[in-house]
Amino acid sequence: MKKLNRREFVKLAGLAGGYALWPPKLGVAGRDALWPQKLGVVGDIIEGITGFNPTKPSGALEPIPGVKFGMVIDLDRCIGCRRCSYACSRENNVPDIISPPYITLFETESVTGISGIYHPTETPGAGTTMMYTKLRKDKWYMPVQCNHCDDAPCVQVCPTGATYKAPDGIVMINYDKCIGCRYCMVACPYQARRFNWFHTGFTPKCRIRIEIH
Amino acid sequence: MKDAGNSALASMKKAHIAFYLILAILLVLITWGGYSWVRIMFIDGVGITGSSDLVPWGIYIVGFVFFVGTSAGASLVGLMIHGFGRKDYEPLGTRAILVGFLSLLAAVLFLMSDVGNPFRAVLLPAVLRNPTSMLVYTSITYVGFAALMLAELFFAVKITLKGGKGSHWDEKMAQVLAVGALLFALMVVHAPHGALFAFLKAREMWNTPLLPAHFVAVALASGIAVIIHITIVTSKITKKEIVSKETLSHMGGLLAFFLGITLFMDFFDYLVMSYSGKPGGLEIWHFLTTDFYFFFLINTIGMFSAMVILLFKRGRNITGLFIASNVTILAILSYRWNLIVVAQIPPLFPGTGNLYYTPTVPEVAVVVGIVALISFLYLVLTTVLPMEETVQEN
Ligand code: SF4
Ligand code: SF4
Ligand code: SF4
Repeated sequence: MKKLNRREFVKLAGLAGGYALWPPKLGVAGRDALWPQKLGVVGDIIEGITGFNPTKPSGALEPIPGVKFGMVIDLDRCIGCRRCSYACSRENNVPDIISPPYITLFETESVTGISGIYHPTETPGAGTTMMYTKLRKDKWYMPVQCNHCDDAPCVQVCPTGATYKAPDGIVMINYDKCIGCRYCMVACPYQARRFNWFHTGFTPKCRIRIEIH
Repeated sequence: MKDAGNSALASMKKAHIAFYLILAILLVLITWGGYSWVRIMFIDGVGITGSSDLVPWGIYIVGFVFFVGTSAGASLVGLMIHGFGRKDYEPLGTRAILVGFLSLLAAVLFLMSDVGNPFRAVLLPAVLRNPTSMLVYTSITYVGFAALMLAELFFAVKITLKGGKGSHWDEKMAQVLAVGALLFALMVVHAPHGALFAFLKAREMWNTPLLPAHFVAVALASGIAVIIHITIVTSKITKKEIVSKETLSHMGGLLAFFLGITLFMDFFDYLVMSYSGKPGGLEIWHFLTTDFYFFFLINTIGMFSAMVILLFKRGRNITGLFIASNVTILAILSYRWNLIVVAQIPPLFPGTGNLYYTPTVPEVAVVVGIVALISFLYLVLTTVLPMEETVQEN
């Protein structure tokens, strides 16, 4: 076996050390393991001193220049199938079992009065619930999720700046900064924040852009 | 004579055994709480607490707000001694600083139990990131307040060691620190805690400019109530009068005063809430008087009856003070519960049904553990540290 020279050794040792300190990279769906990111404060300390966080995920979090996002939901076309809700829970790493789910679907008697959260136990798309038209013809459905507010209360109160307003209009979350204080949850007027109660201890949220990237 | 000596020795031994027994029990509770904390943080997740997506904050925040308040209120003793020159409060000086410091510790521990990532949260005061968040400022103030109290403690102990009369410089420092600590506690630490909640415009019960002022009044009341409670219990156990009956009675008067202010604000707060007919306010009023009427009654009737007991000179005897201080502590705990929990109960969307929050066993265990921990530290520290001269033996 080839002997390592000093330079190579230092390089390798540096890599190994860096890997040990580096919290697992942020996946699109956030992180699952419980221990590493709770102890992954190394990046925070370095950022506190230097203003630069080497553990910060790069690339995916950068806004697209010249783009301003907006979101429209056409309530006339919503059939209350809740597939958006399930897909979103998977994507954002919040359990399906929570009630109400990340995208909350309200069922209304008419176009004006909300009669309650529509949250049947069966999974959309499974067996008979696979649907392409409204199951209950006389009802209306209104999915409510994060509105990416212009003057977002959750951004205002978040102590770490984990939740922030990106230049392209999206209210983003950086999981590497979130301490899980849930201040954003009590501040949101739409109750559009959910907490990852059983895994990461973060407060995931809709980040449209990352999903588009 | 010899017999008397022997029996005194025997009772001292008994007292020692009881003391160690209490410490042992507290240690068991601390272990239980610690184990539950590890379970919540690392094994099962925060999901095993009673908090949920629609009621994100629970008893940890209740405890947090209560202890921050108590910590601020306890500084009043320092102001009495050094600001108003009430030398009769002196035997309580070190104890009050300890109560303040340990309450702050409890508050921080409650916060550390509430957040999902406590190891990252401890960096909050140092790695300041979002200047528009009140939580950043409050977390910085803990460091400042803790430092102030430690400095206060240092000079109090130094003066005690010199037989109650320190050098001119020591006395001056003690004075500046005591007055500074109270102002800091109320204006910099505790009033912003009111703002922490008052800023949240989505929550009807919190979003009132009255809240910071209300927090200050409640803080003073809870601080004095805890000090009165501790003074009476310690006097009973050690069979020594720590402060004279007059001093205790004076404290009772102060407590009545702050309870009066609190009740005054409460009355108008609830009146505006129910009278103005705003849907959010009405909903809160509905929950306060139906599902949570028990806490609402303890809060209002408790504070009122404690105030009435203390308003009369005859009520400010040891029994009256003991009852009033305990009732006040219970009433304030109920108030904090209502403030934190009931505020989150009305759903922000109509028709979403009743939300609920019930603390779970591991959650309660952590609360018990934290309270046991500060009680343990209090008992040990008051034994180890030199305390000021007590008034005299009974
Ligand atoms: S619930 Fe409505 S918005 Fe969501 S996927 Fe179904 S049709 Fe689309
Ligand atoms: S989480 Fe709530 S407050 Fe924040 S941007 Fe979305 S809707 Fe607005
Ligand atoms: S839970 Fe995370 S995102 Fe929400 S306010 Fe706290 S640190 Fe910010």
